[in-house]
Formats: sequence, C-alpha cells, structure tokens
Amino acid sequence: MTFNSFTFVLFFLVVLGLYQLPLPWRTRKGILLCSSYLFYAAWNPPFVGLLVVSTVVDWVAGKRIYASSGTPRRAWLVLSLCTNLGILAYFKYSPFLLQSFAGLAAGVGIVFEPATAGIVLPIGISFYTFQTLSYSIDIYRKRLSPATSFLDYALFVTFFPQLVAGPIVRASEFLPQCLQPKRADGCQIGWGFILLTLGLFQKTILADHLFAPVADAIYREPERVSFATAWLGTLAFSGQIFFDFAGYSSCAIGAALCLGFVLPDNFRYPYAAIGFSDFWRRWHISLSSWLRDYLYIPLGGNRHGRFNQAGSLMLTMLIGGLWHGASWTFVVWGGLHGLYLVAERIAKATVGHLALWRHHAMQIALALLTFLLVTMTWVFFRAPDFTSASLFLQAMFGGAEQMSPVGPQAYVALAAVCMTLVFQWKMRQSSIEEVTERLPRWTVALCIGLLLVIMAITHQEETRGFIYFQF
Amino acid sequence: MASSTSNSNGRLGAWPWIRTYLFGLLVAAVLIGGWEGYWRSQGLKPFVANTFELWAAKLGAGLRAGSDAIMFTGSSRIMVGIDFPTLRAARPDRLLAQVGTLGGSPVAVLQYLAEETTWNGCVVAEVSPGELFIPFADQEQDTAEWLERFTRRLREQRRIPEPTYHALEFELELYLKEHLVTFAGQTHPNAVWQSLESGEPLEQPFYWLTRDRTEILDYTHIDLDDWRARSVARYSAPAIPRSEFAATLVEPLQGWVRDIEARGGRVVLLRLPAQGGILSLEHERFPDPDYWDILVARAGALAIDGNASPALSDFQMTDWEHLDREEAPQFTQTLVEILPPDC
Repeated sequence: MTFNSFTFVLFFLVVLGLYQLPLPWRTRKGILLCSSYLFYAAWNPPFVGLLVVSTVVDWVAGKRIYASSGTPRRAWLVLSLCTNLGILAYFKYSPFLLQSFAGLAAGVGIVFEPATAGIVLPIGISFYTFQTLSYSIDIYRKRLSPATSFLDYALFVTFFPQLVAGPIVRASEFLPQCLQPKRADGCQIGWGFILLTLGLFQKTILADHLFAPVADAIYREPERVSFATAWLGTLAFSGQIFFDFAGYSSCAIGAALCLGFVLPDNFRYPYAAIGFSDFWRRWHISLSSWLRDYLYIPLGGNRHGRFNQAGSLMLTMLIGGLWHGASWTFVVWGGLHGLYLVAERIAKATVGHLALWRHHAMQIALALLTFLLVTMTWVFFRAPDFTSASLFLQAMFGGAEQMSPVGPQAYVALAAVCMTLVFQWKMRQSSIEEVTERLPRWTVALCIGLLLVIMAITHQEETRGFIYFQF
Repeated sequence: MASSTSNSNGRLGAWPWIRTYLFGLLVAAVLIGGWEGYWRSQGLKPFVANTFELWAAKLGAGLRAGSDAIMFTGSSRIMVGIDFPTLRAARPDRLLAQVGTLGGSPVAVLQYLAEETTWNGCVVAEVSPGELFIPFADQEQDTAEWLERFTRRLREQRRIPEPTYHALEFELELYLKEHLVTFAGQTHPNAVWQSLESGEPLEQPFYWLTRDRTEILDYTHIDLDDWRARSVARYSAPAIPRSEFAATLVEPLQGWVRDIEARGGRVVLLRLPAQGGILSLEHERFPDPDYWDILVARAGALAIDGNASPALSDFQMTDWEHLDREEAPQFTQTLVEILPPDC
C-alpha cells in the first residue's frame, strides 16, 4: 500500500498500537515482521515468496561466507550475487534484454521476435535486492558479522517503511538497532509523524497537484512542444520527481522513527548542489553511496590514474541509470551524469585552484548551471523514448517552430520551482531539524495543522503512485 | 535525538514533539470542522459522485458474482426508481449491482454481458423508448467509453494484478465522501476559486448518488417547467426508423438474450412508467404495435411494461419520467413481486 492512502493510515495506526503494547521485544519485532509481509502482500501476495527466497538465501550465504575461507567463501558470495542479480535480471531486465537483442539482430538482418513473457515487476525489487547484496558483500569483506537472529535479519530485509522505495539501508546501520529492546518515545513518535506529514504534503500537494499535471500535459504531446513549453514541462518534472521521491523518503524516515528505528537520509536539498559530485551527495544519497561503495571503489575508484577513474565513473553511472529502469533512455540519463562528473573532475584538476570559484556569485551561478543541466537530463528520465526526448531537447534549444500556449498552472509551477531553488539554496548548509528547533513550538503546530488542512481539502479520488515504485 | 543515521547537524532537542503534533492535529480538526460547517451552512451536503470508478466497481462485483448477481442497466430512470434496501430485503442472497448511466441505454452493457462467456446472472435492462429508440449522438457515449476503459483495465489486471488493498481504499474513500462535504469534491479549492471568480455560489447539485449508485433527485433547485420542456424536446429528436428498427436493435438484442439465457442467465426488459407530456410523446412517437410489441415478441426475454401494469404505473413522477424518491421503495416492492424468483 502506498503512504498516500487511507489504508496505510489505518494500517500504520494499528501496527503502531500493537508495537507499543507491553510485550517482549522479540514479539514486538515479530509484529513488525508480519506487518511488513502484510504491507508487501497488499500489492501482490505471491511476490512475498520472492522476498522470502531473497531473505533465506542471503541469510544462509552470509553465515557460510563468514564461516568459510578460500574458494568456498567465494562460491557462497557468488551464489548470493547470482541469486539476487538473477532474480533482478529475470523480473526487471529480461524483456529489455530480449528487445535489445531483437533490435541488434534486426540491425544485421536477422528477424527475431521474442515472445512476450508478460513478466510482472515485483514492487521494490531493486531496493531490497541492493540491500541484501550489501549484506553478503560486507560479510565477505569482513566489515560485518552475520546477524545472530533470523528475525532481525528478516526484519532488516522487509522493514515496511523503507521496503519498496528505500532509503537503501545497510545491515551495519539497521541490525544493531534490533539488539536492544526499544520503544519510541514521545519525541520520536511526534517528530516521526511530523516527517510523515511533511512527506505526504510534498507528495500529494507539491508533486501530484502542482507539478505532475503540468509535466504530464506537456510530455503527452512531444510533437507539439515549443521552446517555452519544453522548458516549463521539464522544470515541472524536476519539481515533481524531487517532491515525489523526497516526500516518500520523508514518510519512510518518519514512519520508521515512530517505531523507534532510525534510517539514513536520502535527500539534502539537491537542487542547491554546486557541481555534480555535490549533487550526488545530496540526491538519492543511499543509492549513490551504495554505488560508490559496491561498484565505483571496487572498479578502482580514485586510484590507478585519471583515465581509469573516468572509466569507473562512467560505468558506475551507466549501471546506476540502468538500475532505475530497463530502458536505454535511463542508460543515457546515467551516462550523461557520468560525463558531467568526469568533466567536473577534469575542470577541478585544471582550473579548480582559482579563487574565482569561491566567490558567492560564482557559487550561485555554478549551482544554477548544475540545476539546468540536471533538469535537461531529466528529459531522458521522463520521455518514454528517444524520439520524444530528442523532440524535447530540440525544442529546449530553440529548434521548435510552433508556439503552443500553456495554461496559468504552468506558470504557477514555474514560480514554485523558483521558490524551491531559493528555499534549497537557503537550506543547503542546514536541516529541517535545525530550522524547526529555532521556531516556537506553536508555530510548528500551526504549520502542521495547515498542511493537514490543505491535504484534506484538496484530496482527490485518483491518487498517483510514487514514481520510484516502478524501479 | 537523531532523526536519521546520517544526520550530523540535524539533532533535535529532547522536546516531546508528540504534544506539538497533537496540537497540530487539533488545529487541523478545528479548521476542517470550520470548513465543513461553513459549506453545510451554505446548503451543501456530502454525496457520492457518479464516477467511472464507482460504476466499474459495481460492474466488476456483478461479473464476479456470476449467477448470484442481479444487474440493473439503463438510464437515470432505473437509477432513481430502484430502491436497493427494499430489493436487498427481498433478495438477501443476491449481489445487486446498479450499472445504469445517466442518459444511457442498456444496449452496450447487454452486449458486454452477452460476450462475457461465463456470466450467467440476471440483468434487468431498462428499455425506456426515450433512451432506446432515439439514437442520440452522445447517448451511449459514457456507457461505451466506460465499458472500453473497464475492459482495458481488466486486460491490464490480467498482466499486473490490482493491488489487494484497493478494495479497502475504495470503501474508505466512499465512506468519507458519504459523510463529509470536504471529501465529496465540491469544495475543492479549484471549485471554490472558480466560484469566487464567476460570482456564482457553490450549490448542491440537483442530482447525486448513494453508494449503491441510486440516483437522488432534488427538484427544489430547478425550474420544473423548463426541465419538463427540455425532456419533451429531447423526445422530438429523430428516432430509429420503423423500417430499420428490427435490424438495428431487435435482432442484436435477440442474440444477446439468447446468449445470456443459454448459459442459465436471465434477461428482463423493463419499461419504466412515464407520465404527462412524456407519456403522450411515447404513445405518439413510438406506437406499441410498431416498437414495443415487436421488441417483446422477438427479443425472447421476459418483458415488463410499466405503463401497461396498473400496479407499476400509479406512482408519482414530478418530472414525468423519474419516480419520486419517496415512491421508489414501494415501486421496487411491487416490481419484486412481478420479477421471476430467479431474478
């Protein structure tokens, strides 16, 4: 079930009520585990089996990796990698691979029409697969001891607040939290609900009400876009995807906190980033740090010279792009981010020492440049295919002749994007907690009340799913 | 208190935030209560809108219930005239589904049910001449479009099953719409803004639905003479020519009835009563020997003529074509006694 549903509100209140009962710690963890399976089954019950398989395989592999050495140790790691990546490849990438192969075959004159298997993508598979992979790899690298309790480990894999769209949690962050009995106090529950409310507001009002209708309307007709509409639509999408995903992450962190668990941050005002290294330290932090630790560094990272570093970066970002979706448009999206990162490293190495870059106005200009490039690159993320993407990019560079009119809502969305940029720039060195601490408590309460009222009166029947659920 | 594992500068003081949040909830409750109270004082009442989602939920339930289902299809006349609590008391073991559409004819749904090769329930199809014999350009648009959407969704659900919690979510939504003006959609800020811009106050619509898709009509906000004149004018549109009547309507209908009843299902053709100017027009434009009698003789289904049955025709109809709400329970009770026991 999605956070922006009445069903989730009921579900969460019931789980919270049961979890707060004076029961043994093990029982309360069992309640959380059952609730997590129920939460996942609410989409498609048979896929719970997949979650169980992934959990059991890595639980066994983790123990064996830890206990063995040499070839058997490597073999157990390979088993874990093959199982997790195999499941991911079958469910997420097999139609894409078959279609790509058919396209390649057609290119050399071989007609091959792959059968459409009708594979359904299990929700959240990319997230929990990366989570279980990190567990096995960390044990292999001797950075982590296996979980001592299967219950704790299963809860780490399935914990419902972050199960379907992250943040991607490391076992080293989560498992220690399962050891000591805990019950969220009034501080955690209250702040957790505040984060939940903020997240829901970002999702339902800003992403769904303000930005999505504009982006959807403009991206629906790529052949009719003009310079202005292409920019407006893409800027609206940049607002939509940020508030959609950041909203989900806030909800996840808030829901976990209500249960006394602390999750990692996933966003830190990314549209105020100065450069692309900074952007990836602020956008989907749990994924970018995962890719850094389990892909970029093993590929060589900053070692072995600039050429190898650039290659590692490119490969990491291409795979990161493919992680998002089984389509070449996502690969291009990742590849462009890789190019930006490589270009930034080259620029830093050659002219980075100049005092000019540290000037406040230059920092703002660099942040704006970063935002514009990130926004342009979103075209590949949002457009359904390369034809649409190229029409949009042509229009954004003045290649479209027609001037299609836009409604007032597009200008409201544009104003909202500008306000978001200013807000994120002001907040870039700060945090919502720091700002809230400085506010009188009654002001915070009033703001929460107003957010809830706005969500209630603008409630619409057809709710949108979270964008990242499809990954 | 750390609110996240990676938050180095985001530590919160040990303040009981639960108090702050509860105060926020109180503020929200007061403001939403004020909003709700204000609009109710302006005459608005909570209601269920006539949406595709609600219609699709009823059709889906009727299809799943198979032989246990009694479906009602036709126009607003059947949506107003059939009282579900009365019917439910008379047929406690049956699944009742109202799949009529405003201004719609039963043709599209009948065809759809006939083509659903396993469905064998009972369908009561309203065959009022105004909707059946006059092929308005947009008459079946909603029903046909909704059926297309419904079919597309079913096809999609065979590939990606609908999340299991959707049914519960749908019920919760309905519950809120039935009880709070705030959630019924009519006080959405866009509607309020438009009302302020145009200077027209927000008003309760003169028709709305219950969760059973029973239509409620409130004539107090409309000019009844004008309304009747428009209904009469609607009847003046060109009808299916008598020469084409059998080929375009009766023969396909005959096939659908045959298909449904061959599977053990049942089709009942129900002509709802009319009064005043509408009744006169029905007699004048669609003489029974040329239309109704042919339909009854050749369709092969049980037919009930509300105008010919004294038990059914003696009910009050303020606008000449829809039963008054207070009359619907008694009308339904009378109809139940006429319907065959398997329907």
